[in-house]
Amino acid sequence: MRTVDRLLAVVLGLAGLAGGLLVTAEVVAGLLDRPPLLLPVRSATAELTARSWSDTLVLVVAGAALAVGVLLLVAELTPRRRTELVLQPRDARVTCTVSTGSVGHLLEHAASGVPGVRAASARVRRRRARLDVSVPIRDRGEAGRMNERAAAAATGALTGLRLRSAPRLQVRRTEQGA
Amino acid sequence: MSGTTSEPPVARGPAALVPATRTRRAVRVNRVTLGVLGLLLAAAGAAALAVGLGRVSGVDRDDPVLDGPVRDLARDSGWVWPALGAATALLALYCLWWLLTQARTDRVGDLRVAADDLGTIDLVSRALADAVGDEVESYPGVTRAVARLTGSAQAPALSLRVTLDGSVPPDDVHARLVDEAVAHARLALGREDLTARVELVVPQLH
Repeated sequence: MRTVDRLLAVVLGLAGLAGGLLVTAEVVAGLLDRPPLLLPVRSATAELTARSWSDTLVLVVAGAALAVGVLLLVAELTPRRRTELVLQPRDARVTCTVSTGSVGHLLEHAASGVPGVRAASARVRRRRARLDVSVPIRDRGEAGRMNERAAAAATGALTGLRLRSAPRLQVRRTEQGA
Repeated sequence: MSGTTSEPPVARGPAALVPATRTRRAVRVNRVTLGVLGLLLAAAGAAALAVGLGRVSGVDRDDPVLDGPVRDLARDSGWVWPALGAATALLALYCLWWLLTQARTDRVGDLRVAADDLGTIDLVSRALADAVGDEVESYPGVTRAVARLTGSAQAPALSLRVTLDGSVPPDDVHARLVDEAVAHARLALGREDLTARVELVVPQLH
């Protein structure tokens, strides 16, 4: 969202600067009884005089303004997601964090290292982590043991991080054919 | 590697944070400005819709958007156009300030590390940040490290973004960062109270 905000800030800032200067110049020109510089003031006045509030175009523009306004407002009022998980401090003045995405990569790496696990993908949030491991189709007992080993490896990786509050790990197994 | 680290202090604090930013001020200004803009747009759109749908008593939905009284006011009153000109000039100034805010970071410049009758010693914060970054990049398990000093000259803070290769446990890197890199930065600045924020990044490992 910060990047989108930054982009919007640059675009709207430039538009507002140019528009503000232009309208100010038009007003000054009008006060000095000079003809309009760039803006089609007369045709815009005629258009707004000809159209009523119930005109379809006016309603569409009003609806679009309402929709964009509500969207902007909701986006800016929504609290930013806390995606940096804090490690247990080793120094009271040093805060060390690791992103949820990075934790996911660590879990995937740990599970992938278990013999027999073909692939692993993780999705980590602040309080919950989900690890999907895919194993080849085998007998039920062997697949279950493989799942347990992958879960143990991922739990070890998560514990080793020494997060201040580790997300709860949930491991899901998918069996795939050879 | 972490053998010299004593038991970590037990400190209370948040379990998760929002990602660090180099432009805290711009983030805040953007949020407020875009929020206010959204509010104004929503209010104007809702008001125009209410009039257009005939939900406002006293205003005919078939009246023109720019009706006679408004035109007369603009033509006959001496204050309307100067007021509009002043408002748009203020808008342009605000937009200029908003644009300039985007370019400002919270990086600190020079830091005074010593001063006496003979003179002063200033430390270029960029030089210290580069030295810290180079030191951290030399640690096993670290592929990239970017350091910068943020805050103010009176209360600087070290900010580090460290990319790992997965060969060394992140907590070991954390321990070494605290014991060595942050300690060296504190020594160089002569500030035992230097605070630091470290973001560890683990890319997809194969």
